[in-house]
Amino acid sequence: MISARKMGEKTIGVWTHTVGVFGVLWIAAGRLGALRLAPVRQVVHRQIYFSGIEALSRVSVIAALIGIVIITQVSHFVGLNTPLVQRVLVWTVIREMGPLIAAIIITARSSSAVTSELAAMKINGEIGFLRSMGIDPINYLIMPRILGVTLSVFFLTFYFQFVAIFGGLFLSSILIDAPLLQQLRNVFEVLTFQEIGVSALKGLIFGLLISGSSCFHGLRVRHSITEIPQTTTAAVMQSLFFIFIFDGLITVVSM
Amino acid sequence: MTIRFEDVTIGPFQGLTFKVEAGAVCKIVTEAEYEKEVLIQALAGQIQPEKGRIFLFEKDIWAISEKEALGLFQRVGLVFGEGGLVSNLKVWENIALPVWYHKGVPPSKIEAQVADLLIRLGFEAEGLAEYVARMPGDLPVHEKQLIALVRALLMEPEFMVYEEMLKQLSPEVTRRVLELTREFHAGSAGRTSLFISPDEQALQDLECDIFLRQQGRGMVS
Repeated sequence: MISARKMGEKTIGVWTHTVGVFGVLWIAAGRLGALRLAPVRQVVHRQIYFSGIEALSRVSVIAALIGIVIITQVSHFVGLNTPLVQRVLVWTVIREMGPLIAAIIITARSSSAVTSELAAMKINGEIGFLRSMGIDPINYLIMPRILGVTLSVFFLTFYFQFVAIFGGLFLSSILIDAPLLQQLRNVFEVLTFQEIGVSALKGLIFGLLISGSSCFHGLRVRHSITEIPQTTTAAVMQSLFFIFIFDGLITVVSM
Repeated sequence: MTIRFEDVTIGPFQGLTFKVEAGAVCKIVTEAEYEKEVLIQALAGQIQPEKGRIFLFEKDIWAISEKEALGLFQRVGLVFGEGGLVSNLKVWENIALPVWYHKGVPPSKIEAQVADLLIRLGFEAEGLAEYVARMPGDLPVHEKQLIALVRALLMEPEFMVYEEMLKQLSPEVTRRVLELTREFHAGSAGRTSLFISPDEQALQDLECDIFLRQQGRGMVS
């Protein structure tokens, strides 16, 4: 049985980490001016490449499969040629699946990578080396990673939605013989700016939460290399926790 | 004055007081590795003294803002014992980073200067492009130090600090490094060099203006 003291310590730990993540995001937001420096922009480009572009192939496959699974499952219950099939596809993909799955893929790929990279740099004293050259580690290491990961989640969300909807419709038009043009018409009828806006907001917030958690936990290590796997796990778990909490909040507020 | 320790208590040192005048070549011999590391970290602003003050270019590095401190460190070239290279950047990117970051000089503009410095330090001209495309983890420690030296010299600092610089080098490379050090001093008046090592033998070829030796918890000249 968990003692009251342990519960208290856990609560304080969760609170401290949450404050820490938002603190990192706040500090990084104040350093956006460092983007005028070419080496800082280079770090942003590299982060977008690692987190976004390198994830495209996997996102494509997952998105297309999810699109066709939704169409197959829904059409099984309501029939093939009803607009409801496309409506369910748009609702689930735009409102929930797009932002969620893009965020989960980036968490799995990049949160762990960013956290372990920063943690290793800190333990090896490399953050101190940068500082001793007059290079601000927040400007050079943290802000560009937060920006790169956030932009990656934001754009991967839309890419996922595009591939899931159009890929799903295209594949289903072949596999279950549903007319593609009719399906597309049904999709555009149900799509609203509000849904796209909420989806963009989710992508943006999830990106910030994933990158903030990763950087905070990466910088939290102190001396030992054994802290790296622990802090990496903590970053991934906290990212997922934040994603589901904020997904629920945004969904409820936007309904 | 380039650096001044004023009644500093830090790690094994107590009431440590010394200064290095601008333009001097100074060597400090510590009793052991640990003391040397504490001194280097104190100079780099990585550990704060329990007591006393450390002045760099007449400014107390723990009494000024982070931005001001970073501005001061730009004027210092620190060559760490293990190089102090950033492990996720290639050798070439490590060399170019501070000049690109602080002075906005793109890497393509310093290629010839870097090649010249590396060749003068004994690197073969042939295969240099492949060499600088390697990651720091692939290099032996003494080569990491030479890369860090090139990186520091490109910034044309006012103050160079060398941690165990000459310890792991062959006599020929030591001669080349000392030649570059002399040129660094001749380049402009007021340039200062500080060599720190626990190994007095390694610094024996170095002509200096100030020689400090650790004695117990302090330093004697």
